[in-house]
Amino acid sequence: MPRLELYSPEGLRIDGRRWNELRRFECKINTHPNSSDGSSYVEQGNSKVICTVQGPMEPKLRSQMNHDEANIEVNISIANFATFQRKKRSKNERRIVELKNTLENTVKQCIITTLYPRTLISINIQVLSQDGGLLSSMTNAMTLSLIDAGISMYDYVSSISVGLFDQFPLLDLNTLEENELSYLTVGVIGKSDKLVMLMLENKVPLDKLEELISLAIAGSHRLRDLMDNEVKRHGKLRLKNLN
Amino acid sequence: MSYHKEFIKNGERLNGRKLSELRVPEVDIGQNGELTISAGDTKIFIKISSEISKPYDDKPNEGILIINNDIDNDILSRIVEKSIRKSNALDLESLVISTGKICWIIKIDLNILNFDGNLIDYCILGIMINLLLYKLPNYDIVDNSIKLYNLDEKAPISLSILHIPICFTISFYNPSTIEMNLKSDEVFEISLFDADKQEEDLRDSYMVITLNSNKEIIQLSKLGGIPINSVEVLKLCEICYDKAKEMTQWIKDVVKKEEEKTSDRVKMLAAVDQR
Amino acid sequence: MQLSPAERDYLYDSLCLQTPIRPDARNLYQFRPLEAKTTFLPGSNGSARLRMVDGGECIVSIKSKVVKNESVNSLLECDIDIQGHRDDSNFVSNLKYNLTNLLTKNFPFDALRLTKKYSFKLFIDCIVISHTSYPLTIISLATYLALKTTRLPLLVSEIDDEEVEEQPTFSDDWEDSRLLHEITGQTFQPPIMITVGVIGKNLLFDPSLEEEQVLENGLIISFYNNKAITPISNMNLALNANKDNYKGIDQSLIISAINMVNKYCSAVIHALDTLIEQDDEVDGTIF
Repeated sequence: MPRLELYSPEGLRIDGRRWNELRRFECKINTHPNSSDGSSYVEQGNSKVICTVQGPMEPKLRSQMNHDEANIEVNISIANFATFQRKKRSKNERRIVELKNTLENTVKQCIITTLYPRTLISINIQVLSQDGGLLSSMTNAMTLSLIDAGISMYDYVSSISVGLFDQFPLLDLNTLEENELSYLTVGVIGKSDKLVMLMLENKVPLDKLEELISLAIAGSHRLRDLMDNEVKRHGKLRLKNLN
Repeated sequence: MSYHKEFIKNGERLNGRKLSELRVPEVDIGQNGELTISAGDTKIFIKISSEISKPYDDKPNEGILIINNDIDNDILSRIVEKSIRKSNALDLESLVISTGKICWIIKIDLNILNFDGNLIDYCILGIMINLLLYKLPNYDIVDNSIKLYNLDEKAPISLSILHIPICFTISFYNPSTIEMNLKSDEVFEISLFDADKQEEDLRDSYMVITLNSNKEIIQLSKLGGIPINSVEVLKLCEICYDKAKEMTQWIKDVVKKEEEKTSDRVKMLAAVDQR
Repeated sequence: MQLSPAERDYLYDSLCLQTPIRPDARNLYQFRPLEAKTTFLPGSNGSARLRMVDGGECIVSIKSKVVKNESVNSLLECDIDIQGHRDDSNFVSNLKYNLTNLLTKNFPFDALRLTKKYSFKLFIDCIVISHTSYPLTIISLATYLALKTTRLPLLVSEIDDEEVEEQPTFSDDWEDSRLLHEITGQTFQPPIMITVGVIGKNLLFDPSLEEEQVLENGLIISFYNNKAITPISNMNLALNANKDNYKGIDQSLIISAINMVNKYCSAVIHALDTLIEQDDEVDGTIF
């Protein structure tokens, strides 16, 4: 695909969005009430992620028990059919281990772990379909399912990716755009400007970094609002059912 | 070690350096491809070797670069791969001798001899200096086979290095509680460059940034850990760029000095030969 | 799951009665309630998600690929991924083997043949997100739903390509794609596998987790074209139990089980087909 088509002179991207538009964001919480303590399902464009949380519970191994805080374990599973070309993935692939460590370190910052000493919180992420924004959709799904599980948190962590096409920053990239452009993924705490996660794996001119980060933070704040709406809607529904 | 943390919260370090001061590395250059880099008590031995082989089937016009390290550290391997391989610091296309048939494999072996903090930065620094100094043997293509010359028979070839990535690991320390850090806008984390082992054990999180003197960021990883204000991140990037410029100049000086030493040696040998 | 001795005895005795009392008051031949959705993965040719009331959930995706006839042994490949289990463990390998065996023996492969040289190969990927009882039933039923709703693109190039070197080409219009049964011309009912629990002189369909712990034996019977067929195997369904009642099975019980399957399983197939018809609003969302 020629690079020029990624961002037309009229300011339209290949899927018709403008530079600062998010893809369609759908989320639902409490999708697996019988098999987990908290669950969520997130769709960012065509990327689909299911996240379930078990815990706080007794750790499976005594060695995992931490006396001051909760132990947090993240398991990522990417389906063979998640990408356009079917590809069998080993669970110990370097990239998946890196994502797993990143998510563990990110989520430890927002869960009040000191409230759950000697327990294990196990987070299972299943990626059904991947069309760009892998790390950000996993982070968002994880935040929602932790909220559903009732685990005490300081604030939301919302995450989005931003890419650079020549001089223009583009928000929320899909796979085609990710393959061609340099992009970074940020994780933002609540409505602040604080970054808990920043991952950039391609070359970007230093002067452009500020623009990219501010666009990413604005996008993350919008996502946080969308996630909050869903949590509030679900809460109202539950309240209604109680009465 | 809470007294150590108090020191850092006051902006001072036990090793006497300033918060943004790096250690001065020493480079010990051995034979072609052997280099030991040490900074403080951190010591790393880097060996580069080369071999003739066939390129991969799906990349017939690129040579092969393999980076091994002897300790099983995921983070070190990932960042070295991103900084050097992914950024194309070494031009792989220049390693091809005959498209699809013959190419060079460059193998880089990292041996960590002593650890006193900040492995990632010094590994990358050592690898880049070693790559700049490394000489490939010259060759002739005879029929379909290759004849390699010794390094002193025919002038050896230097590797084609497109840019020099410099890496900085910045460690963060939270001067107050988690709640204040997350909710308040006035709490700023303390950041320090080039932590030694004690400082690494105490840190709350870290960020690794690789850039070059062309003002390009090669990679930036802040994978979780305490949240940092984005304004701080940008400020740190600017500081890193200034340091990267100095480092690049320092590397070029080291390389130049070493080349002059070898060319003096060559001139001496040539003089002896003539007699 | 661990049951106390009192619980075990209570369950065992209730299930051994002349008219057994199951903990959830089901009939002997009744399945647990389930919900399902199909065609929600736009990147796959067929997809299905099946969820049992006890939380067991399975997602199956079918993807096709054009392959040369000579270079491939089988036109079907199955892969099962169960969360929490290693891919090379006995548990997963057994399930994979059972499913592959069942499908390769009872599948209209003619539907997959495109030309003399090329055919479609189907990759069946199952993910079991969670399960309580033995997951073979949910995997098999979800595979049924996915296969029945799989669409394959329409071939527009020549069928006889012995002489021709070109690869097969397909219609770009997805409306032209066809379901598998439209390709074969006859009704297409993929085979399914049913678990039957044996206890005393009684046979129970679709045993739940508690029932599995006290069973004396378990039968896995395949069902295809309205008849019980092989593979038929038995296994101890009380996995991870510290004490079970596993013992040999009487041959008359095997015959009764086969008769029961013949009698009641058509209703299962009928229910699944109705589900597919009612699920026709292709809105693409899972939940």
